[in-house]
Amino acid sequence: MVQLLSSDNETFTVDKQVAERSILIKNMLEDVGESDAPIPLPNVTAKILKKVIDWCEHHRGDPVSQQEEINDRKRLTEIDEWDQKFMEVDQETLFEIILAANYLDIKPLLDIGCKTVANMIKGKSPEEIRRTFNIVNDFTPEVRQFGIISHCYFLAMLST
Amino acid sequence: MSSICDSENSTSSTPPLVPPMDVEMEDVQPASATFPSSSSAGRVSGHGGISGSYTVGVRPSSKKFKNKHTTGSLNRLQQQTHGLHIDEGFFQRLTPKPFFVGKRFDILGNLPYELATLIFSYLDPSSLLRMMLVNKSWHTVARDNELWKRKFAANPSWRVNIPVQHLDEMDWRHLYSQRYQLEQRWNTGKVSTFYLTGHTDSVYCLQFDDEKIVTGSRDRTIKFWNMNTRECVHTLTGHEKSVLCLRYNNEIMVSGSSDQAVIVWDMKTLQIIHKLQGHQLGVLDVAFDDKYIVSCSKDTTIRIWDRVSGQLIRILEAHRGPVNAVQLKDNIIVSASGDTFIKMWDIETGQCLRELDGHTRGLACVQYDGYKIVSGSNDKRIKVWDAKSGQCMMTCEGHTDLVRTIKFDEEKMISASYDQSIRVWDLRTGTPLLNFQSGHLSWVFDVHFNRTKIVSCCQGPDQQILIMDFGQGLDTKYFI
Repeated sequence: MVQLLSSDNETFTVDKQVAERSILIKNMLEDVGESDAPIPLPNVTAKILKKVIDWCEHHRGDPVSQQEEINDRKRLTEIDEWDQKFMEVDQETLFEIILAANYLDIKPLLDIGCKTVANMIKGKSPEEIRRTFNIVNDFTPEVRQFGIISHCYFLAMLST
Repeated sequence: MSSICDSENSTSSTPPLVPPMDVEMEDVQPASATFPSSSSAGRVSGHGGISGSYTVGVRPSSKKFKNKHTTGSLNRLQQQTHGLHIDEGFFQRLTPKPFFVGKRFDILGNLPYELATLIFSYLDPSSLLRMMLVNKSWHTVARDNELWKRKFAANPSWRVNIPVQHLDEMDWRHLYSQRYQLEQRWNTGKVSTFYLTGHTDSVYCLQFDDEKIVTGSRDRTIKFWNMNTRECVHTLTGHEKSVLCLRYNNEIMVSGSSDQAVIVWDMKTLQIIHKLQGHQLGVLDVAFDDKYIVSCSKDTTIRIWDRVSGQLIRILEAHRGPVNAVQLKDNIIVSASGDTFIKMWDIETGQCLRELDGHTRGLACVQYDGYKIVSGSNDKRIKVWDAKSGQCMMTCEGHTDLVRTIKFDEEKMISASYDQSIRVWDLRTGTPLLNFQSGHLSWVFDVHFNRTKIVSCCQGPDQQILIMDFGQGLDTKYFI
């Protein structure tokens, strides 16, 4: 068993196999050896760490291989059902999970997070994207004009 | 990919996105979309006045929100700077910035650059183009050269050959758009067509590369054509009757004729090196590798010759009908005959390794790449075989007459028939993709293709050589 300490000082006890889904933790354990001292994760709050551990528990048996990654790329934005449910969270939490997965170096979780965001963007117009993410259009009118022209140009190129 | 905490840039450029994660905050914040509700406003006001707009930017003062937990070493920095218990990943900053409150915020704009591009890499090109119009920071990320490079690389069949000195300055968005358009044209069959005129009779065989096309004709000549100008640059004479087959590489060309001879040509001087005599009837197909030249004939035999000396090494009494096509790969000969069989031979021993039986009428063509055999027959069908097991994996129907010639690569196969059509098929599924009906007005004898072109030849005095160019006007020089 491994103890993980969140940024807000909450301790989680998890199976080593589960914790080692995180390459960061895996490398840490290899470097320092196992001890009773909890591993500090200063970038992850208890709330997010709990989510991440849930994910690692569910995916503890998954094969860790490069092949997996290549296949993932192929399937592009397909996400399996459990993971889809897992990612049904508010945007802040999604954002934090992505950052945590990146920090903890959990590639498949990072991919799922990124795909989830990609799916929120796919097929939307710029205005719909702005609304989804509450973004202000900060282009100057001139640039907007130019942007639309170059946009049409590229769309035309892609659709020939 | 660096972690967010290691990167100066990411921690300092990431504005605070959510209010400090206190226990109280967690309770109220996700519940209300129209923040603040009356109840939550009261509870969070102490957090530095998050009062319902996005503009409030005062860091909470230290005393009020002293961390409830005992202070570990991890939180020391925060303790010093803010005296606050907050999520270090997001709030480790000294300059106050507006808090964004609510369920929606710019995830992409706030992620470190490399994570944003990772998200972008999952998106289709037209989504990416739309994203460029969202705002400035999205525009910057969506133009990222590395991103387009990655998108390009995500298509395993989109191979490029870029000279090392050009690698650094490569505009991958441009390359992507060129490759994408090429793909679209292959999907829709949009081609520019050109005919080469010069032969005075039917053209039986051809091969081409980026610089040239080489054709063999019933007019007994072999012609070399410049691919760019589409003009005939050389005419070779040597055969006394129709040139039925030819194959070349950088060093030699081997041609076969109904005059029963095989001629080996020097590709540099275009002179005859050897004239291989022995077949009793017309030579229908040839193949060669570093060591051997293999020829097959209407006389039902296959002859194996030494490539360097031109000496006959072996005669295979191969079939009971004319041997119409032959392939050579890794010391295995694959032959296809009018007797309906495909046979595999060991070139070293002359032993027949396998017979593939499935076509109901004579075979006209075969191609073998070491793993797969694809054959075309007078039964109008194309069959794909697993060379290891000898099993027929797929049968493609559609042609309405003899399938005269077939070529395949990793993805597709292209066949041409006496029904005058040239068809493109998905090699994995056998799905017909394209059907060019009007390119030729007579029997099609041979077809070859590469990433941008299909070149074919047919019977008749006119319009015998057709180039269908998918890459016209595109920058395809780096594509392979």
